[in-house]
Amino acid sequence: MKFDRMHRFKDPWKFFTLIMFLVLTVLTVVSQIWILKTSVQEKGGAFTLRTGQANQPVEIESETLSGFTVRKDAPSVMTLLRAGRDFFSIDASVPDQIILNSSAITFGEPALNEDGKLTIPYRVGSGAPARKSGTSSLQIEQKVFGTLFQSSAGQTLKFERLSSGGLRIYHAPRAYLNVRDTSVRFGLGNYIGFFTSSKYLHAVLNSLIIALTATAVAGVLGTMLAYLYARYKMPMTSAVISLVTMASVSPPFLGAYAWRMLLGSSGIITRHLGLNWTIMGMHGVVWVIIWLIFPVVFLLSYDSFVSIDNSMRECSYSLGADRRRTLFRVELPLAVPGIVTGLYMALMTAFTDFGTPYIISLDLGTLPVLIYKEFMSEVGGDYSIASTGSVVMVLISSAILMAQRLYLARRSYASIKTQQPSARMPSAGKKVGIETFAVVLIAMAFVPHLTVLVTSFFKWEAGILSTTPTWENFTRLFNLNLNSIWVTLTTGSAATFLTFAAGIGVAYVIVKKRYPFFGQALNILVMVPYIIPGTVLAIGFILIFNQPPLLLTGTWLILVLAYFVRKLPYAVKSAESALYRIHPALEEAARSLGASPAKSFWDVTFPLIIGGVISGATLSFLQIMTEISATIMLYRPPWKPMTAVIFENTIDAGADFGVASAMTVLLMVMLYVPLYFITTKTRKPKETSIEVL
Amino acid sequence: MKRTCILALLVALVGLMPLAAASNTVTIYTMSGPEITTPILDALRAKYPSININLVKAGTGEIVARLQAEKHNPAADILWGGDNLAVFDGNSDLFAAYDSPEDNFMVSKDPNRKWHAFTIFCQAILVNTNLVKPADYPKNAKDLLNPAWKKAGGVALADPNKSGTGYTIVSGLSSAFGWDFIEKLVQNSVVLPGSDQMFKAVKDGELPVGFINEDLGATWKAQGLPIEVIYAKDAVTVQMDACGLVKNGPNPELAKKVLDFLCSKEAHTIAVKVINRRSARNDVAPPAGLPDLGNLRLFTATEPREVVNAKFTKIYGK
Repeated sequence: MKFDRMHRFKDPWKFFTLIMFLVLTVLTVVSQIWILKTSVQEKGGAFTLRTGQANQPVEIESETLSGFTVRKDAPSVMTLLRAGRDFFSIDASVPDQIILNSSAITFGEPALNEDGKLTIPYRVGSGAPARKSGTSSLQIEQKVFGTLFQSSAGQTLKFERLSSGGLRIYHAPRAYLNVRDTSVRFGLGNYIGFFTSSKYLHAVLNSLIIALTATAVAGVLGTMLAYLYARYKMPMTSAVISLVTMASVSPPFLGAYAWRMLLGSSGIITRHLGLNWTIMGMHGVVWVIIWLIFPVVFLLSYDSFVSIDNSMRECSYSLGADRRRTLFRVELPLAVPGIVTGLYMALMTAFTDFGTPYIISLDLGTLPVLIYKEFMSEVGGDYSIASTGSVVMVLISSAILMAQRLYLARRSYASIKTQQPSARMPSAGKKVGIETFAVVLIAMAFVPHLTVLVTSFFKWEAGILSTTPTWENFTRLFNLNLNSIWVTLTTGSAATFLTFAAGIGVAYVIVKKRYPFFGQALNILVMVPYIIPGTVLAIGFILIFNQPPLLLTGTWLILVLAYFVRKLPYAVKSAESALYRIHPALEEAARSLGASPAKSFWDVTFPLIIGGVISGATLSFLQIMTEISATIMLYRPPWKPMTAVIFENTIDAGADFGVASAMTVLLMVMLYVPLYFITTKTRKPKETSIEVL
Repeated sequence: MKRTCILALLVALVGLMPLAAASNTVTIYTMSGPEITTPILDALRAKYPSININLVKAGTGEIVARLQAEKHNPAADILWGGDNLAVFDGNSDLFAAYDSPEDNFMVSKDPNRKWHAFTIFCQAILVNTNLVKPADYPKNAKDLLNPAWKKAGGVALADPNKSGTGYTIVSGLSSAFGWDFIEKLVQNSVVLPGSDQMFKAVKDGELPVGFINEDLGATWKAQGLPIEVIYAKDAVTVQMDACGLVKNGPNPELAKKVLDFLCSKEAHTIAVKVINRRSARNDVAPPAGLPDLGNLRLFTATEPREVVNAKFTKIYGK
């Protein structure tokens, strides 16, 4: 205790924790608080009034009515009620005008804005009229639909105040009047709406089914492959690791579409085999996601399996356990930090994936798709329900995170010694078996990449691949402004550097320091951006960074920050699982010998976790360089990354995919070449002792 | 380590320095692909060499969301493209009124002067010829109610809550045949969360029949895809896309010049030639190969979005 107090102000980790806490709070909480706020705001109410064709009564379109109930008093006369009590009445018995009257509310002075919207402030109760606008008001907007393309002119509303305190409003003949109460109440109405809507409940269910099935399959495949490569001395181990790492990113946009081109109803493979089948649907979504997430399970569990202390195994054998028993009772439990973290990352990726269900299904409602389409609706989406959905998603994900963390924190997997990895020599048959297994998995994961590669050498016509081979896609690519390559490289490297540095530190604080509040808080803060769709996160960034003093929109820095927070989880989680395996005694030994906290970290802990950290950093790097959803909301020329170029060449249904596929190939090459050198250099096969058992 | 950090900080600060906001720069947001923006902007640069154009592209939904988020300090000067009713009227607070001299040449102009017409396009019926025999091609919109389509997968229909084209189709057909028709159509359809999804579902053979914007249909047909584009005899829906000035954009004066050019005869002629779209100008001839509008029974949206969305949601389910 005394020791602790002495070092309180010397512990640089406290300072680091505080800084990271502040940075992440601004980037994730402050920027996203609008979602939480929107989710508890209940709209005041709205309806649309259809005014008369000749001789027809004016009516409220009943489907549009929300927040009010209506009582018909006479033809064209109605009263709007709120909570069972009269709110105001509309008398539309005279053509082309309506009269608003109320005994419950007092109307203020109406104002007509330049959009032709009439804003009428009101105050509940009688007495002095409300003066301040923007608090509670009725907003009335007129829409007139003429004959084809002949919108009738003069759509502005006119009004006069009546001595009774009411209002007379003159509108165009045959107009629709949208009436909206702008007052906002705070409450849980949106959540009730969410959980009573079968559409959203189905979406939650679909998302969970997809996430759990895909994670289960990918988990079995990934851990099996990892175990085999960790336990047996196999040729080309580092190549397999590199390839799986490479497979962890799918080519942006075209990746999922490749599966559809191959296995859809009229896909290339489907047609050639004469199958009556389509990949479109939940089965296809699960299939595609499996190949997207198995690499992360493999990479994280591989590191865990390799670092198992062989003496544990020897103990098990000498106590009479056979290999199977040793596997399930000793090896798997020891590798749990890596496996569980890998499964967690995989589960989260599958749960939050928007692109795959959107492309590999026609109308499958999953939570990310519904949320995305409400936020990004071109015809006025429902931000309240989308925000509510986002909060629900964050809550589900946080629950899974807490479970993962509790599970890992309750157990101790730490080892005091750093051991030389050891492996067995496989028999010839086993070797072939393992290699086949690896080849099949890697081939599956690379289907999208290979498809894009092949297609980049063929001519595309209106988004359809022809059979004419061509170099044109690449020659056209190099005639484009190649500035975007530079932008991708600089913003990507800067963000990777940040995630690398911050990732180690945050993981260290979470695992080893366990500060009472800040440790937990950091753990959740890091994961929040992983759950929120990139485009939605970007809206939050625009909301806080679009005004001085923090005017960052349009700079490259905002891209770097967005990449940093979105992909930090990869670095943190990998480092975390590596740190769980290191016994605190190692560092304490260094400290007791007089090393400073920083020195003991750098000299003792860091070298031990570098493998896990590097695999996390490479995952971050791949993810950052292919990030697309936040990019398209935040980029502004000249800071236009390659993914934005790919995207703009695919956005139109009629767009030519040629340049996009060539650009994708270029991006993949740019990613894979440095990646290859990093993995082969840092993953130099260590001296492996061969077990004789 | 420390030195690297300081260096990174310095680099970051340099990046933070505001790029000298060039007064000759106009930022355009668009949802159109390069096949149309490139030739028109090339023509613009030839006419006004001093104007520097920043082009930002994304899907319609993302663009609208981005404009909404940026509205207190807009980065864009112009939105180019987007349904005049759904995007411009639906978000009228984002746009500035402007009297463009070119508006007088258009078939229609906005009474609030916020949007300026660009092109007009019909929604034809799209059939996948690998899946449907010529004898079974629908001739009328009403033929889409035939239960045989549901057995073959369903009619591809874009959700009007998610797509401006879906809004035009549903509102146009409901004004032609009433909401009963829409109710039956929805029962016979697969409702897709976007218009691109609708086009691609039929093109890729996932569904036998659906709707398509006529310009894209003509392009695909010319490329030899296994599709047929059919103008229903009983009702064809039609919509317009537009451009407009973003309210409080950084460079309003120059933006007007650029907007006038986008609305000019020159730009519209390019659009007609390159993307097979009908110009909204009276003085630009429609593209060859598209039927004369006078020979079609045209229907356009006749109810506001709020009404169409609410009624459709009631039919399709919450």
